[in-house]
Amino acid sequence: MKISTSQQPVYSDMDKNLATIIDVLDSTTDSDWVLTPEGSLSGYCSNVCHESTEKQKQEYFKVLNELETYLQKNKRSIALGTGHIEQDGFPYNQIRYYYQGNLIAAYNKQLLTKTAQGGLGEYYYYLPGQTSLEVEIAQDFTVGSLLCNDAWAFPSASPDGNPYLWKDYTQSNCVFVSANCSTDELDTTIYTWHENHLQLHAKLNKQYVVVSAATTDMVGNPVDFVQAPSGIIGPDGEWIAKCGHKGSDIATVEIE
Amino acid sequence: MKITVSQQPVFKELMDNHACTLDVLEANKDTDWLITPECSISGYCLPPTLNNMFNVRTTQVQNSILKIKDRAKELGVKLALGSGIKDNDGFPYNAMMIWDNGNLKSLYKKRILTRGWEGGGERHYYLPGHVPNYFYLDDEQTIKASSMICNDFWGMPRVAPEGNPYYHHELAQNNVDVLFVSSNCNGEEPDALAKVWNENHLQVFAREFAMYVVHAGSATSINHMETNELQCASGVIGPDGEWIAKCKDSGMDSVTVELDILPRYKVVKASGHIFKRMGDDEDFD
Repeated sequence: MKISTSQQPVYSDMDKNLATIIDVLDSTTDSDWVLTPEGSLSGYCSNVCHESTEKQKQEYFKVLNELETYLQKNKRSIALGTGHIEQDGFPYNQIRYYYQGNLIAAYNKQLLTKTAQGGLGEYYYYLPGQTSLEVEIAQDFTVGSLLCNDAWAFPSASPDGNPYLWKDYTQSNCVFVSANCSTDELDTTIYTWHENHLQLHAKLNKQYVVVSAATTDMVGNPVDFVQAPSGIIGPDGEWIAKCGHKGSDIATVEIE
Repeated sequence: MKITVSQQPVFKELMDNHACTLDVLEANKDTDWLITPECSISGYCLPPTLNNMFNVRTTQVQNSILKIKDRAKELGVKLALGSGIKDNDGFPYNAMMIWDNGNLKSLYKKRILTRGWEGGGERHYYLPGHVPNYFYLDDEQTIKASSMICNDFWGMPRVAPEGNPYYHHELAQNNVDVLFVSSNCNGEEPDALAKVWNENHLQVFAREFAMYVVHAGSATSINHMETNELQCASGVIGPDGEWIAKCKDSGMDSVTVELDILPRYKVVKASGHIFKRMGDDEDFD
């Protein structure tokens, strides 16, 4: 099975996001699964959130419909990072799993960011998920799902600590991590925090970790660095394939 | 204020630990504070422990601690001493004792004892503590400090299945300036990812909470054997997250740092940081 992960921009403009995702899909036609960054269709903390307007919601469902049509027509499988309004009417920060064009599962981010100073971070935009999600993306091949802070609980955004959600996926063959965490400037200490969490948990659980991060900052502006790596880590905790340190890139690995 | 970090071996033999700690004390008699590794007197997971408390060794550990704190008093050195202890409730704890002028000023008992998925680890040797400790480094009571022991700080996932509660938040909210961390975490096999995990945790938390982090790790393995593969550097990290002084990569060593603690303030705008200190931010006004 071939898995690709995309390091790509995540704009607040949903039409640009749709075009970017379709470009990625068009350039990975021989891949069985593609993972995209957090918020890669909706935008991160924009368009699909508690305060989104009816117009924004309609535009979101329009681009989602276009993407789903493309996936159906081309029988593509994708783990799509996006904000999404669920049937309960509330917005969630999701990874949506489409298998050969059909939606099979959706994971809601659990460790939404917030601060100890009263700032609510992502709570201003989304409701938190309550459960972990393991998906069988191929026969006898299961993946766990984590979105950004779920994977590393950055201290200043996680006053309640890190529950190590990875422990819910100890039996999974692989974990998909979809991220969007770049700020104004590259911070190598924080980059190491993110990378080390991915590698150490991969090694501890003896599983593949596939990570996809944005090349834009959290408001959608391009930056010339990434604050978290994209690529595929093996069960020994070492990188098998890694995207470049900046700009759009795709890493693909054939996993037996 | 001078603070000395001792990266020293933690032996199985109590008298070796006693002699080693006294040697370190004599060699650093000009310092204000000396911090030693986790279990540097008792040995790591050696009596007093849950299944072995009422023996001669427990008494010997108590006597050793008393002699070391008396010598520290004579030299005018304050101690952050890591050791297993038998506390007043009669149970064993993995502790950091804060000795000031011969008095036990504060006692911290390790809270996140190591254990695997199915138990074991330090839970077989000690009871966990439940509360943080706070004390002042200076007589004027202007520099607030606290303690953590090894896994309390970095919650290594394979031995902290319940996660890391980030006790650091609580300490930061209570205006801790300096965090003393003692550890004993060197495995038999080197683990490069674990070393990055431990050191990166020290740096990130120091910076995010604008604390000085003072870390004293063992120069031996958790089985009291010689090792050249230390799983975390010992030394002092500033509130910018950078090392101010670092012990050498292996073997016994110590570093002394003179700290001038700058006032701390909360960062108002949204940022990766929660706190900063005056002087480390050019834009502060």
